[in-house]
Amino acid sequence: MATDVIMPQMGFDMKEGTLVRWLKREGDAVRKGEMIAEIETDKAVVEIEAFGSGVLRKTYVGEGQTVPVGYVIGVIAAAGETVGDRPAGGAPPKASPAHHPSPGKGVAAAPASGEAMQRPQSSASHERAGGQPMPASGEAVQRAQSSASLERLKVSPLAKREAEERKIDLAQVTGTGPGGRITREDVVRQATQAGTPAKAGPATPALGAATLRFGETAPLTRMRQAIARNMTRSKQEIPHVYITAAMDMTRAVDLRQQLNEALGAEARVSVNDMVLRACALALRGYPVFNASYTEAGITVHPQINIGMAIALPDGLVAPAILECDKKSVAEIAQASKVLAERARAGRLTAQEYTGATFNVTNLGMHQVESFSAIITPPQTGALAVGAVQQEPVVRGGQVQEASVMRVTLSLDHRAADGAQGALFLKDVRALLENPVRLLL
Amino acid sequence: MAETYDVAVIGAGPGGYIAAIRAAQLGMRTAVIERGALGGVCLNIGCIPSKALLRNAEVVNLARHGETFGITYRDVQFDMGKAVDRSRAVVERMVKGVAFLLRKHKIEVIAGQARLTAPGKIAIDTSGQQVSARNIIIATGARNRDLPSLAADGKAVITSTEALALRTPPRHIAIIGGGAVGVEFAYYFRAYGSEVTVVELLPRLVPQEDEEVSRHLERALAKQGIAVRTGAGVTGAEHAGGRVRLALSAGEPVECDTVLLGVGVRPNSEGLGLEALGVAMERGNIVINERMATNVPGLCAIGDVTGKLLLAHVASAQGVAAVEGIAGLAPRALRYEDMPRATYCQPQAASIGLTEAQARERGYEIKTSKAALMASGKAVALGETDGFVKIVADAKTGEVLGAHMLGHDVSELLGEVAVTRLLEGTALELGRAVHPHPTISESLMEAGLGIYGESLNV
Repeated sequence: MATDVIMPQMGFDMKEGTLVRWLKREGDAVRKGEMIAEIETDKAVVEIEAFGSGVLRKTYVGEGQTVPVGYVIGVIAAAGETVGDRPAGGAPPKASPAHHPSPGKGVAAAPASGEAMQRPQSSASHERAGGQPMPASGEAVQRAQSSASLERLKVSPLAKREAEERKIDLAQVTGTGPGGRITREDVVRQATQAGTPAKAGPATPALGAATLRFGETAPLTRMRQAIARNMTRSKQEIPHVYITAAMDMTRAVDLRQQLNEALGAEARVSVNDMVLRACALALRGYPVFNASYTEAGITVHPQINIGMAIALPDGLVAPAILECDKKSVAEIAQASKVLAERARAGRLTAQEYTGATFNVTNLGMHQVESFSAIITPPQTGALAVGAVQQEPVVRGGQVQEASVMRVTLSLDHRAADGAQGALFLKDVRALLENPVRLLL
Repeated sequence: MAETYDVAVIGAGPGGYIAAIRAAQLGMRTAVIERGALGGVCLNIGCIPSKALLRNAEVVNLARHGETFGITYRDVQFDMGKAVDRSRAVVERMVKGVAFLLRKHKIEVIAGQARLTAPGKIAIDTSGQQVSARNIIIATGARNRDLPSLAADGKAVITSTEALALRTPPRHIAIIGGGAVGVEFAYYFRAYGSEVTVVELLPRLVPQEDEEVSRHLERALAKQGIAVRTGAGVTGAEHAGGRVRLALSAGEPVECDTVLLGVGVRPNSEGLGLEALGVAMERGNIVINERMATNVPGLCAIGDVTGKLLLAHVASAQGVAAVEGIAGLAPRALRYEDMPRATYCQPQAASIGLTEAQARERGYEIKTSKAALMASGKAVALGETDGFVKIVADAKTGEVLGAHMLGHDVSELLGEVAVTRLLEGTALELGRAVHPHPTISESLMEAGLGIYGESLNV
């Protein structure tokens, strides 16, 4: 049965995507779950996987072309199956003004030539000795190949057991041990890359983190490329305003302790979870910071999804806690723990990966007093959170010890002004200084 | 004219000399600076001489139980002085071996106390010589530590260094510290007839080992007539009439004529000029990363001075890793939990990997399996049936998370488990590999099978 390959939606604001590169060519056997193409969203370059097995019979979109989300960019089918010259019901791809594909490339691949379509069929039926049609399914071919190669595979017993446990085909795993021996780490890496069906790529390259050495140039991982692209774009396009405010966290720290005593070790709440909650609540009153700026206008997003920056071995991701304002502090704590685990394992869903409408980044655990963040496009704001530190404060004419935290709001000056940012921070402060409100 | 080396190693112990050899092997111009004897503590006043003495103790114990084997004699003499002489001969031979290896690899050996004067610059204080090196590896080791309430005086209160040289057994020796060093000396002195009391602050002997090993070892030592006082700290000491009275935090005081301090070591990180270079240290230990690099470029540290895991073979492995890092080879990360550990009294305690308790703490769902040496034909034939081999495995994958053994010469079995861990073998491979019969190693095979409920001789 034919399976369409479609341009996936890698986030609620993604309208179209660009096909960067086909990883499989027309006529190549593909297996369900295999990576077949790289696409670029406005946030990252992501590999997409096949949802079916067979032969990549047609590619309808050339490298460099931009198509809307949901557009059929190719089709996977059995070798003998009939497939169309054009995607069924799809509008022809447009060359996006943002991306200028070389005309040669774009044109050559899009109008499918009849010849290319014939080739796999003819080879299948003629090359078999007995004139028997070849077993059509690519899956069968692949199975045969993998069982044959398995005998030649060098693999550690533990890797074998891990592969059984995770249902990983060892034939697909690249071994990094002596002489290419497959180790458990290789299997785990493969398993996390195979990831969720949604397959939000950028978490994956982190696992292939480049080792930096003095006097050597390490190639950029895809995550590094995406970060470089987004941050450069942000600094070039977005006029940033930075506003820093100090807040007295004494009561928040007390409340956190009480919560943690009540909740127990499993459900521990961090200061950052309380900041996330405060931000989410404050954003309700300042939709301009839960928005995207374009020349056409300021689009306020329907949900408040707060991205939580998570450092990975080679870069970072900011997966979203979806509808953060509708979650309690304990629910946020739970969600952030799960997100951090999944981010490190490379198992974020597309929506989590790209769905954030406002980012919070925290370096407090490294005793950083304050810093400023670069806004992640197309967001309009980001909050950088410093450490909670013991400092003297004056209360009612008396010098007392207090737990003080500094946060810095970065805002897109095209969308909002400093005063709005200051008022937003005032709300965040009011919530954190009277933390009982966070529990309401 | 100052010499310039690719690598200069300070300290020629098992970390330093191995690092130097590996560096020379990789084509680097190498020097090693040593203020004392080649081979460091391990060869001169540690692992090697003590193993020689422990062998003597074993022979003495066999002789004492000669009747078991139908051997009777009159006027048997156990000359501890001769045992010490033998151990020194062993040391001499091994130190010569190190000198030969260094010569063979064309490694410059510089005698004297080294001090770093600037990055890449070493002054030899004793000779005034200046040495320049692109990379410096500090491998200066550690030395015996005193107790706050009790300092070694070399007479009534001694450390392992003096204990190795005693030519007659003390009448009653109290050994403070129930770790490997304390337990080994307890066994040794007991074999030669001393009354021995081991005092350990923690609730059990060899406290870093799996609890079952500790318990079993305590029973085995008690059978030999060694008194064990666990959960007791030394709170004070009185010297009177050539005897020492130790007050303990729990129970009766101990009266003895010699006290042996076996309470650990402290790093030799002073006097090297490290503070002036801003080398990061924690309680005297030099802080290193996984490539053995310190925070100062071009400066690595290995072995006991890093306080990571104070074992000779760990220092050697760190030395190789440091040099390979310097040479730009792919780093081989050291997994410290994969480092084998052994206590060489008889029965020996030997372990690698996680203890049962550690594995549970880390959230593993585990299976354990134990093969008693009582069921081993070889152990029975030897008359050494005390002990067991225990495997802790991941219930899901069968990964051998740890092996914990007690028994005659079981330290020799650690290599097999180390290879299993390195090659990512599971308990199933341990159980399926055909082991020679009759050997104690069969117990490892039985324990491996036991993880799957398939032990054949249990």
